[in-house]
Amino acid sequence: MNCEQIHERLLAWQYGELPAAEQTEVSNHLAGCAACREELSGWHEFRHQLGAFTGPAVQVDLPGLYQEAVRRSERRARRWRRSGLVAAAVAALVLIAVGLKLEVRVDAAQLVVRWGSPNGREGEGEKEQGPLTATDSPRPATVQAPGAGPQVTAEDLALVKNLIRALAQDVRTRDRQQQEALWQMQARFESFLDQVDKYVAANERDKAAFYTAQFRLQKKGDHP
Amino acid sequence: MDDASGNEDVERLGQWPSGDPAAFAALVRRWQQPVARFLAAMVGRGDLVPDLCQEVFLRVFLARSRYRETGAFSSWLYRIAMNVARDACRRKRWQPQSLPDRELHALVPFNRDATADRLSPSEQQELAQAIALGLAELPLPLRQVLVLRHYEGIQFKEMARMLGVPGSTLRSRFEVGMSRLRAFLKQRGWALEENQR
Repeated sequence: MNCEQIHERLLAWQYGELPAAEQTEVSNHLAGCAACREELSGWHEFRHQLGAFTGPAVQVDLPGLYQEAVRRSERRARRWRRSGLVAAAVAALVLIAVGLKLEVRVDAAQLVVRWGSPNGREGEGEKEQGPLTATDSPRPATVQAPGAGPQVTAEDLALVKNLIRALAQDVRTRDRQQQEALWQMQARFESFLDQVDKYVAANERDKAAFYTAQFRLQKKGDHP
Repeated sequence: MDDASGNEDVERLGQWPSGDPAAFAALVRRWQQPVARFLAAMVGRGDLVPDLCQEVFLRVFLARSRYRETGAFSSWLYRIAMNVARDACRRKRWQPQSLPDRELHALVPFNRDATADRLSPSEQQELAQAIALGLAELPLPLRQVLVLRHYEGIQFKEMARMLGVPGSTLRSRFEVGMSRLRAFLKQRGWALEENQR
C-alpha cells in the first residue's frame, strides 16, 4: 500500500474496523512512515476534540416512568378490549349470515333479503322477505348459479320441454284466433266501403235531380 | 462497547422481568447519559432531550418482554432511541438544523475531561458548541453513523444489522461525516497548528 491508500484507511484503522490483514499492513506502514504518522496525529487530535460534546445531563424520572407505563398498559388493554368486541360482533354477523344462508341482492330496483335453503319448496324451509322498496312489481325469481343449486333430473327436463311445447301451441292458437279476427274485420271493412259507395252514388243522383229541377224553374221565370 | 458491560446489561435484563426493579434502575443509570447524548446529536434540540430520554426508557420498559438476547442490548436500546428521535422530528414537523449560538449554550454543557488539557473551560465549552453545530449541519444518515460509531462505540457490523444498511456503506458514510465535521471545525479555527501537536 502507498501513502495515499494508507490515508484512506487511517480512520477505519483507528476504530479497528479494517480486516485483520489490512490492519496489520497499516500498522507496519505507520511504523516506518513519518508523513502518515503526521496524518494520523491530526485524526487523533480531532477524535480527542470530539470528546468535548457530551449532551445535556439528564435524570430519568423512574416513579413517573412507572406511572406512565401503567397508564399506557391500561390504555392498550382498553384498545384491545374494544377491538375484541368489534371482532366478536363481526364474527357473530358472519356466523349468522352463514348459518341462515343469508342472501342479499339488489334486483330490478329492489333490495331482496332471502334466507333459508334456496332449493327448498316454497313455504317449506324457505322464506323470502321483500321487496323492501316501495315498488309493486312482482317478486323476482331466484336464478340459481350453475352448480350452486340442486341437480337437474330427466323429469325436470321433460317438464320444461312440455311447458315449452304448451307455450308454443298456445302461441299458435292465439295467432290463428287473431288471424280470423283480422279476416272478419277486413270483410266488415269491405262491406262498409260498398255501403259508402252506394251512399255516395245515391247522393249524386239526388243532387243532379235537384239541380235539374231548379234550372227548369229559373228558365220559365218562375220563382219558388 | 466492551463485552463485560454488555454481559452485565444482559444479566440485569434477565433479573428485571422477574420483578427486580433495582435491575431496571441500574440499566437506566448506566445508559441515560449516552442516550441523552445520542438524542441531543440526533434531534439538535437540547430542550427536548429530557422528555425524549424519558420516552426512550419508557418504551424500553414496556417492550422488555420482546427483547431477545441474540443481539447487544445497546443496539436494541439505540434502535428504540432512533425511533423516538424520528417520531419527535415528525411530530414537531421540523428537521434538525443549524442552531443559533444562544440555543447551543443550553444544548451542550461544559465537559472538563473530554478534550485536550491545554484548553480553558470557556474554550472547551466553545468547542462543544462548535461540535454540536457541526453535527447539526450533517445530513441525518451521516450524523447517525458518526454518533453511533464514535460516541456510542457500536461497530459497523452490529450497526448494519441495526439499520439494515451494508457495513461498507456505513464505513464510507462514517468517513465522509468525520471529514466534513473535521473541515467544519477547522473552518471555525479549531484545527491545531503543526507545532502544537
